[in-house]
Formats: sequence, C-alpha cells, structure tokens
Amino acid sequence: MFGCLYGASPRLAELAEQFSPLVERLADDAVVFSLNGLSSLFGDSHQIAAEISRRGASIGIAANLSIAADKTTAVLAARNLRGVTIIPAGREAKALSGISIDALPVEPDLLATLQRWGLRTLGDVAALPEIGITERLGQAGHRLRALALGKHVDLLHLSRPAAEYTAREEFDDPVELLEPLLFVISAQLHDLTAKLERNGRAAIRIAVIASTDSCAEIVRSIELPVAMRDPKALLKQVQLALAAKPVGAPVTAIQIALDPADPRVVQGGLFQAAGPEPDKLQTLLSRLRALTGAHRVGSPEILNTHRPNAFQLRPSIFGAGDPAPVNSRPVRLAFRYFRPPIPARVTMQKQNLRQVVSEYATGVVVHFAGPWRTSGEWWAETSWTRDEWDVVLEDHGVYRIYLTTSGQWFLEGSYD
Amino acid sequence: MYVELHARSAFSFLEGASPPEELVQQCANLDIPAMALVDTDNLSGAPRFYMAAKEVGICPHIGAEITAAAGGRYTLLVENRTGYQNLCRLISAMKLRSEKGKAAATEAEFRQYAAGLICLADGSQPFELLIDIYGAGNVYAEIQRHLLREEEIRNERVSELAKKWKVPLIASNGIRYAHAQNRELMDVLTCVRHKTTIGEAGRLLERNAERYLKPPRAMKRLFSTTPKVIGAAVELSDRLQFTLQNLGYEFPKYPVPPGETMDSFLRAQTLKGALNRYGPSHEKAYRQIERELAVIEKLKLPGYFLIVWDIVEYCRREGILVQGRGSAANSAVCYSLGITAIDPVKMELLFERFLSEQRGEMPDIDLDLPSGDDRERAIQYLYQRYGRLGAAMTANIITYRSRSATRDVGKALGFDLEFLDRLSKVSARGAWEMENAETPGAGFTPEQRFSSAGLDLKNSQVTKLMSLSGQILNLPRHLGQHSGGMVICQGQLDSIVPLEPATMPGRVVIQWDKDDCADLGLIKVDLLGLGMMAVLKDSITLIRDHYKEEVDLAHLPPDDAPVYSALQKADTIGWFQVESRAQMSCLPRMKPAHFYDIVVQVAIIRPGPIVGKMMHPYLRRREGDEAPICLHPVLEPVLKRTLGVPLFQEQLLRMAMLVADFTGGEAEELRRAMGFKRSEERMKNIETRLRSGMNKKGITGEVQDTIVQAITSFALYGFPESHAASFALIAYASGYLKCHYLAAFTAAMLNNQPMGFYSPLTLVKDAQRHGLHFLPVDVTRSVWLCAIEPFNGELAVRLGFNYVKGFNSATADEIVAARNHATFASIDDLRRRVPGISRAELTALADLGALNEVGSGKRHRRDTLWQAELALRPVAELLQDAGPPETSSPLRPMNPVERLEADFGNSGLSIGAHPMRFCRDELTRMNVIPAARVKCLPDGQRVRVAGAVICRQQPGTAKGFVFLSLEDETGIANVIVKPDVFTRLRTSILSHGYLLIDGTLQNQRGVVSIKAHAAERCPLPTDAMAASHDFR
Repeated sequence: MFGCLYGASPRLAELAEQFSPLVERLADDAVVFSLNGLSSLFGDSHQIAAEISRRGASIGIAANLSIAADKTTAVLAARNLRGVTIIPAGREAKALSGISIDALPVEPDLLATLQRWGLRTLGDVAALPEIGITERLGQAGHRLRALALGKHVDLLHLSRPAAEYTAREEFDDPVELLEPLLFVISAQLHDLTAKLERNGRAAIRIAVIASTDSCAEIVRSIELPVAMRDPKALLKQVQLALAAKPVGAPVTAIQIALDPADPRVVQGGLFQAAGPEPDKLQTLLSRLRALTGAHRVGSPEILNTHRPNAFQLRPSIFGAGDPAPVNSRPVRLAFRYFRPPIPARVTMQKQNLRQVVSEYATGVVVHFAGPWRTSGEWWAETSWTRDEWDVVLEDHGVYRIYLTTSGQWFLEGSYD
Repeated sequence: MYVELHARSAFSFLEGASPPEELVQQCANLDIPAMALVDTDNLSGAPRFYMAAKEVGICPHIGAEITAAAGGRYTLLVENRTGYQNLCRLISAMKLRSEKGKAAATEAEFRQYAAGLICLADGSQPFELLIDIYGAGNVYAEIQRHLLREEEIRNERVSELAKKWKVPLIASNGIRYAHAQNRELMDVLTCVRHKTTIGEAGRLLERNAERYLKPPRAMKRLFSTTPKVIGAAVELSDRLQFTLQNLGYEFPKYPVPPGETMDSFLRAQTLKGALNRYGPSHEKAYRQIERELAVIEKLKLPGYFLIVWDIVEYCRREGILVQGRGSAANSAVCYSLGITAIDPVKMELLFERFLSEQRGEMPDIDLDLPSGDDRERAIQYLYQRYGRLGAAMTANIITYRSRSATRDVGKALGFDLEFLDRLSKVSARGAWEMENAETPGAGFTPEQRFSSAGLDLKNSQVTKLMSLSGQILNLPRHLGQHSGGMVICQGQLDSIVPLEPATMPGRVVIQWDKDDCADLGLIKVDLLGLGMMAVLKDSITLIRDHYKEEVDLAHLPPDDAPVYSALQKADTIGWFQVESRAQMSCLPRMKPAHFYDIVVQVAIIRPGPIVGKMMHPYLRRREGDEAPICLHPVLEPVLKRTLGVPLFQEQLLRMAMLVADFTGGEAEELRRAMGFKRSEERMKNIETRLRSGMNKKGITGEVQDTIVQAITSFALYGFPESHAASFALIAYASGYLKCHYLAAFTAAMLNNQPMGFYSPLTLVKDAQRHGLHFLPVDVTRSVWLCAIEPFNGELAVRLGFNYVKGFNSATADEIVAARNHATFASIDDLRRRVPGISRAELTALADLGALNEVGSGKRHRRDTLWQAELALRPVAELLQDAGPPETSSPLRPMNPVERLEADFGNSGLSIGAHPMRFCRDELTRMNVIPAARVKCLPDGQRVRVAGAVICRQQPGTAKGFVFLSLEDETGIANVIVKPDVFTRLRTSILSHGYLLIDGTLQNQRGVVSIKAHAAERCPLPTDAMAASHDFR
C-alpha cells in the first residue's frame, strides 16, 4: 500500500516520515510513501488515513491524501482528487476514470495524439483496446493504458536528505575573549571536517554565527579560494576573520556552518615549479587583508576602458592557469605614478603652459607636449574628460600633468 | 584653406555616424571647399554626397576605404573617370566573389584596378608596396591628429617614411561624424557592429570626440608644426578632377532592322500601335503622340522606350500579364506601344508628369507583372538579353525606423530585451512612428511614445535612449535589394556603379537605390510583382478550363451593372485596392457608377486627400450637399471632373501651370520639392515663385493662400491620376471576375496568398455568403493548389494541399502520381506508396478529414487518425507489403466544434460553419444583432454586436481613433472606437480574438458603423480563429 500527499506545504515529507522511513519526494508539493506495516499500528486504510489527516492538521498541513495499492495510482489520485481518497485494490480504474488526460505524465507529443483522438479522461484511455493502443503507440501506449487502469507498477525512489555541516555550541556564561571561543570552534571544526572527509567532501565557505548577549546574531562569512578540509587551516581563517572584525560583544552561542564542495584534486608535475600550498597562501592573504584592509589585497586587473590608469584589484584565484601574456612592447620610458596624484596650479598663456606649482615639483615650463585628450562613459554619471600634457620644468624634470572636467590640475607622475 | 580628404559617412554602415548631406552641410558652414567621401568598401553614399555637394557648391571627391585580404585597408581617391571605373570594378570584383560581409581585395586586384586612383598611406601598409602598385606620384602619406599620444608616434613614423620614399605628406582628420556631439552615436553604432553593450565595449569605443569636421583654423592650429601638410591636401584636391557628373553612363542601344534608326523604329512602332488604339483619324491623339515623340527624340530616349516595349512584347509572347503603371500612363506613346492600358488623351492626363524637357530627368516606367514565376521569367529575360554586367537590380537602402532604432540603441545602452520588446510594441501601434512626426495627423511625439510605454522621462538613461534613437533614425543600416527595380547599361555596368551579389544565385545588385539612379541619370525599369496580376492570370486560366470561356482583360464590358452594384454596396472583399476597411466604409457614399469614379475611389482613401481635407468636401459635393465651386474660375477646366476639389497630383501641377504660369517641367519640379526629401529652402523658393505668378494673374489674398495651401500640403501625398487609373483598371477587372466567375476568382485568390487585406478565412466566408460551395482537402481528389470541381450542377472550389499547414508540395505531387497509378486501397496503402509523407503530414491530413474517402466506406476523421497512427508504425521488412487489417476504431467521431478546431489548427481556415454560429442562440438571448441585420436598424440605436476580429486599425490620419471589423456568419460589422474609449478598453480589444461590443449605431447614407462604448470577450465554445489584419 502507498500513500501520497499533495499540497503546498513544505512539511509534507516531515509528515510522511512520521509514518514511514520509505519516503519519495516527487516534487516540492508531493511525497509518496509506503504504508506497509501500518495496519498493525492503526488499523485499516481508513484508520491510517484518519491518523495521517489528524497529524497533518496538528502541524498545519492542508493537503490531498490518497491511499492505493500501487504508487502511480496513489500519486494520480492525490494530484487530481480533492481531500482523502482511498482506493481499494481492484477499483483503481473506476477511481481514476474521471481524471483528465492532462494529468498523465507523458511527453507533449503523445498527449497531443491522445487529444486528437478525442480522449478526455483516463477512463477514455482505459477503454481503448489493449492491442490497438499497443500497436499504435508501442510500449508508451501499453504504459498509458496501465496507468489509466491503475495497473502500472512503479517502485519508490527513496530520498536521502542532503548532509548538513553545522555545529552549534551554547555557553552557560557569555564568552568575551577570542581564545576560549576559538577553543570551542576548533572542536567544532574537527568534528565537521571529519564528517566532510567521511563523505568525500571539503569546505568552500565558512559561516561563523555568534549569538550575543543582546540576542543579536553576528555573522562572519569566509569565502575560501579552494575547497579545503584541514581543521587547522580552517581555524586559522576563522581566527583571522574574527581578529580583523571582532564580534564586539560577549558571545552566548557560537555556530559554525560549512558549505560543502568537491575537494580540490591536483596532480603535481615533476618539472612544475612548486607553488605555495593554497591553504598556507590563503592564510597569508587573510593576514594581509587583516593588516591592510580587504580592498588592498588581490591581483591587479587593467579595466577595459580608455579611462587613464583604470584598474581594479580582484580577489586572487589560484589554479594551474596559463601565465599572463607578457607585454612585448619595448619600454621607452619609465613612468613613476604619484598615488594619489598631487594637486597643482598651472599658469597658461594663449594655450601655452607657463608654470607649474605643486608640493612635489614647481617651476617654469621649458617644453611641453599635448594636450592628449580622452573622454568617456558619457552615458553614466562617471563620465570624464581629461586633457594631459608632458612638461619639462626648468629643473629638467619631466612630469605629466592633467586637467579634469571640473578644471582641477594634478601632477600625475614623473618620467625617470 | 583646408580640404578634408578622408571622411566616412553613415554609408560605411555602422562605421560612420553622419549622413553625407550633414557632412556636406557642415563643410559649407565651415567654408571647407572640398571633401572626399571614403566609405568602407562601397560607394552607396556617393550619389547623395554628390547631389548635396552640388547644391551647396562643395567639390565632392569620391573614394573608398577598401579592405585588403592581407589585412588593413587601402584608402583610395578617384582622380579621373578611369580611376572611378577601376574603383567600381575593384569593389565589384571583391564583392562578387565573397560571402556577404567578408569581402576583401587581393593584392592582384589592387594592382589590376590601380590606374586613375590615388592612395593615401597611413603606415598600416608598406610604402614600397603602395608605390609599386599605384606609382610614385600617386601615393600620398597621410597624418591625422586626434590629440592621442599613440597617434603621434605613428605620425612620426609616417613622416619619416614619406621623407624616405619622397612621398608628399598631407593632413586629414579621418572624419567619422559631422559634429563632436555625434561621437555618442558613433559609440552606439560601434556597439551594434560588435554586438555588445556600451558598458562592455571598453576600448572598442572612441577614445575621444575629435573625429568631427573641424574649422580650417583649428586644423591649421593642429598642424602648426608642419603647415605644409594642409596645403598639400589642397593641392591633392586640385588633382582630383572626377565627380559623378562624368559618370559615363550610356543606355543600351536597341537593335533595329537595317535602314532604321532607333528614332524611326520607335515612331513606326508607336504609329502602328496608335492605329490600333485610336484608329486612323484621332487628331488630338496623333498631335499628342507627335509632341511626345519630339521630346523623346530630343532627350535621346527612343532606346529606352524600345527596350521597355521589348519587355512588354516578350511578356505578351510568353502569355505573361503585364501592365505599365505610374506616371508612364500619362504617355500616349506608352499607351500606343501597349506598355500601359490607360488612354491619356481621353483622360486628359499630363505628359509632363512623366517626362519633361526642362527637368532633365530620366523617365521611370513601372511594369506590373504577376508575382512569382512570371515576374522571375521577365527578370531572367533582361539578364539574358543584357548580360550579367549589363543588367542589375537596384539596391534598397535599409534605414533605421523607429522600432529598429529604439531596439538597437536600447540594446547598446544595456536595456533589457523584455523592456525593449514592450517599447517596440508601442511603436507597432499604427502611426506611432517618430519618422512620421511630420505626417500631419500622426501627432505622436517620441516623448508620448516613451511615456505610453510607462517610461520615466526624467531618467537620464531613458533620455539618452530617446535622444539617440532620434539621432539614429533614417541612418542607413544595411543594403537590401529593391523589389523590382532594374538598371540596364550599354556594356559594363560594373564600371558605373559597384555591384554586389544578390541573394538569388547569378543575380547582382548595384550599390545605389532607385532615387540615386534617378538623380544620376541611370535609367531603370521597375518590374513589380503584383499579387492581383497573378490572380487575374490564374483566374483566366481557370475560367478557360472550367467555364470554357475566354476572358480578355483588355476587352471587358465597360459598364458592367453587377460590378457597380457590388461597389455601391461595398461588397468588395478580395477586390484590388477597394477592399480595405476604409475603402469599404467610403464606397456607399461614393456610389461609383462609372469607371472614372473607381479612379477617384482608388485615389481618395490616401493620406493626401484625407490630410488635405479634400475627401469630405468631394463626397458632400457628390451627394449634392455642397455646390461644386472651384477655388478660382481659372481652375474650372482642371477641377471640374473632381467637382472643384483637387484630388490628383496632375491637377496640382496643372493648377500651378494655370494660376502661376509654371511650365510643365516647373510644375513637376514643384512636386519633387514637396517630395519625401523635403528641403525647406527649395519649398520656400517655389512658394515665392508660385505667389508671384499668382500676383501677376491677379489671384491674391485668401484665394491665393487657399491655392498655395492646397498645392503645398497635397503635393507630397497626392496620388497621380495616371497611377490611380491603372490601378482602377485592375480593380475593375478583379471585381468583374469576382462578380461573374466567383469560383475561379476565389480559387486564384486562395492560391496566391498572402496578398490583399483579408485572411483566406474571410475570403472563404465571403465567397460562401455569395453562394460558392467549397469542398474539403481530400487525398483522393485534391492537388497542390485549390482547384475547381463540378458539384451539384455548379462549380465549387476544392481546397488544395497548399492549405494543409506544414505540407510539402513534393509530397502533394507524390500523392497525385501514386493515386493516378492506382486508387489508394487503404491508409496503409497510401503510406507505403507515398514514402515521402511525414508523420506530421499524414496526421494533419487525417485530422482535416482528407483521408475520409480512402478505401471503401465512408469514415470519420478519428477513424482515419486511428488507422494513420497504425500505418505510421515501423513494420518489419518481411511484413511490409502485407499491411495490417483495418479494424474499426474505438474512437468517437468529432463533434462540429472539434472539427472546426481541427480545421483551424491544420489549415488556418474552415469551410464549415462560422465559429459564431455555434453560439448564435446564446448571443440572441444576449440581444446580439447579426452583422447583416445591423444596416436595417435606425441611426442612433443602441446595439450589441459580436464577431471574430478580422481587422484592427489605427490610421495615422485618424487622430487616435481605432477601427475594428467584426465578422460573424452573416457578414462584417464595422466598429469605431474613440481614443478615450480605446484607452479604457485597450486590453479587451487587443487581447481577445472574438469580441462582444456595445455601442451606438451610426447609419447614415448607407455607411453603417457602431461607435463602441464597451467591449468584452465574446463567449464562444472555441478559441480557434484566423489571424487578424492588425495595425498594418
């Protein structure tokens, strides 16, 4: 015997599991489960249905319930007949006969054929001669008729819940210091990584959720560049994250959640230069981030724009990629950028530059070249226009100066 | 002085942002005396550039940037006519052997077509190679300054190379747009070209906005360190002597018999034809013919007329229907030669509208041919006669329209596609076209259009989208092929204009559109495919085969009573030109009684008469409500025929001739000034001349203003009388065939779809209301096309396999061949003997009932579906010929509604009952009046009608009014929806195929319509329906 629950509740599986360990989740809105052995506990089908309904009502579930001798009949009935439907063995065809053929789990082409034939209900399908439908539609036709007659045999495809990697520890007294907190977290990480190892998995993200005295939950999320499961390395990451951004209040409970991922598999090469181990490198980078701020650590990337000096730092990604192409253009002149650029005052006369005054360099302009003009992003608020010149001052220093849209002058750098 | 020798226009297709006219105008504004247009791999912009430059007195140099197969581009300038011919041949050679978009010239081709060309070297190609190809004196080193650091490095290198190779150095600005602000549009076009968004295009975009036309002073300042380069450019400009004025085009000579000249031969043929047309003593006609022949001879055009005559003769010999239309119908010579079918002498048509000595323009003869194979044969004839390089199709420059503009700009600016679809839908509503903003009555500004799509006009992104969509409008997008325009040339057409391959193998297209050809004096012939011509031809064949009668379209009874009766009742579905909803609503007032009334009817439902407020005065005068008074007594002879109201272009031309003493040529010049490419200045000049002419004749004050207003507002949209008359002939012929040979006409109409205003379903229902019987598709009787069969002593139309969706004509042929061999014994037998039939085809046939007659005993559709499914199963080889025994099916027959749905699903129409019939009882209970009864009710009565929506329209001239046509089993009801009501009912009206409308009946002088107050979905047992003619 099979039971099927169909409704909009997310707790259908929970209800089914109260009655049977053999549960198949069909979709978010339907579960089907075995009722074998329940008669000795609750009685006949009606009594089993009454008990399921009672418990369902107690946890606020409103769903259709059907009980039938085969799984597919139970599912079709639950999906298409309202309330509780109990189909005695041998009465399946009659019970299903009024259901629309649209409910059949078949390909659209086959459904279109049935519609062209003028079939409206499963009763119409059941009434077709077995040989006739099998001759025309083959195995699919045979299956269809069996479905409509309630004689289709299908087994349960049992569902296993996804493994969770979460550990929570509540404290009798709030913990104020990092060290005892890390002591607890270390134990949690050991347990969780052992579980990861058992399942052949590793962690790609760590979430540290600290409950504080004020009942607030503070979350620190640590993205890992590669999946890892060394508890020491993970603990170091947590330590650095909490040191860089402390919780700031006594902690009453701590929860660690790991996001699982497939572990990184790397085949070392005999002639390959040995790089730093990712775990260690990640630890180093985390230390640097804690020291300098997250936005100052990463790989520089030149942006695809004409905006001068436009680049961003992107988080480092480690992997066996191809080395970046080397710019083969010969270096004519080295340029030393001032970061940030130095504000300047520039005197002009009839479009000729006369004098530059700044904190770094001041003097009369002996030679100049320019302006070199760039502008862009006219479609956004970040639009810019910039005129730049190369100037030789009387001290023989060669500098680059530029004028912004707002009329401000800057000394951008000097040529070596 | 500074000249710009390197300018790309928008004809570089997404690599330039300004039309040639704008570049030229800016040159004029900045006192730049010469400019060279060097679009990439084409000369499509050259004619417009030349015409614009000629007007403002700029010297227009021609050139092109040619993509090299080895990489990079060669910038080439034309020095003389040889150079121009070589450039055309170079482009043609590389285009004709390459896939579209991948053309590039090889070094050998550059060498072969080098004479007469100057090459600008920018350092991207080796100097020694260029000097070797073009010669030492014909290579110039080119430097440009766009305030870019890297460019200076290149300039230094080019200068050094120039010095080394002793090549003159010139300056240019590598123009891509006329004004600095066009850089934004240039960036958008770049995104379109690279199929990316502005946010992601990065370094593909312009680095700054310096590629605009700069004043000579600014250019001198830029090159102040090397001032000679400016002067060198001027010197080079002086060397470039070629302009498009020296094109060297020659129309082919027509081969005449020995002892004849083309003049004498044309005269002989014309007079021979005139004898047939006019008889021997029609003095007025012969006088007109002599006058026309004199002009034709003077303009050296006899060859052209003989060539067109030759095409027409070919068509006659081959049994292809052909009729000249357009302004050629103003010519008595054309009429005598059999090119046109309208007698211009009898109709007093104005010859100058066609050909004028003063205008110096080539005439334009359009020939209507049956669309499809017959037209193809005529085109092939031209190719065979004049060779691949002697004849070519004209191009059609595809420009940005409001929908494509908004879509491309929106995509480039990163708007999501769903949003752009919404915006496009708003654009699709009839006249909501920005480019029609100057169309009086259109009245929808871009702001209104964007607002109605729910956009916030204060949003800066939306403002950018709107502004750039406006800027991109009318810019060329790509080169298409004109539907029928052909250019013919004596000899090598590829030395006159570059050629490109057409989609059809063996065909070529020139890079100029038909207006460009006209501007540059290239003579073209338009071979236009007209669906109705094909219908007429097919009808005549069917009449010959089934009615055993011979119909000669040239000799139809002139005043056939049933034709005029049908016209007066607006019973014109399927007729040429007079079948649209608007035409039908006018016919009961117009009450055509003579052929000339049809000419007027064809011309009156046009934007010109409607916008010029001529339609209603004419109809009121016709109905006797208003006196037919002319604007001025002097205009009496011109306007008398149209009751004092100007309706035709020729009348306006004659008006100008009468009131202001314009010559025929000047009057035609006036019409062209008002044409689509309006020039404010030209219009003003002509208006001044018009007024001064009238002042001299004492026509002043209000009358003068009215006449000027009539002429200027109307000239653009007015319909030529000759054209209307040619169309009226076809309209009359179509009506005559429909009235007398309904089965043949309807079968021909169904076989030539898509065409006309209505869907095949509406044509079928209309024919059924006229008593025609239809027979369904039947695999034992049908052929590919709809055919005629005797049925109960009458002729009926048998639907063909062409009305089975997705059916292949080869399968139809297979079926016919197999059944001619032996009758199909069963469906399985059919499947075995027609192995090419697919599952979908056999199923569709069964679903349509086309297999019901197969084998013995009458079956129902589901019986055949049951058997077809079995027949389609694969069978083992040994049993293949055995065939399964046919058993009776367990399936119930289809009910009428199911049959209707199957008909619509598989053929898009039904010959059974109209869907509305299935709910008539319920509709009667709901007080719904059948369409046929509406006209019997009094004006002003509240009525309720229902039907399938066969047409939704919102004409630009209707100030936001929406018109619906609802069809039921008795006929068609017309519904008018006021703009405010449409706003309220928009969702219902646009989303339901069957509507129930409550409204007030307007029944005045036979014109019946319902003014809608409410609209809702009509309750119907099925949603099956045919497509509606919406907002087209």
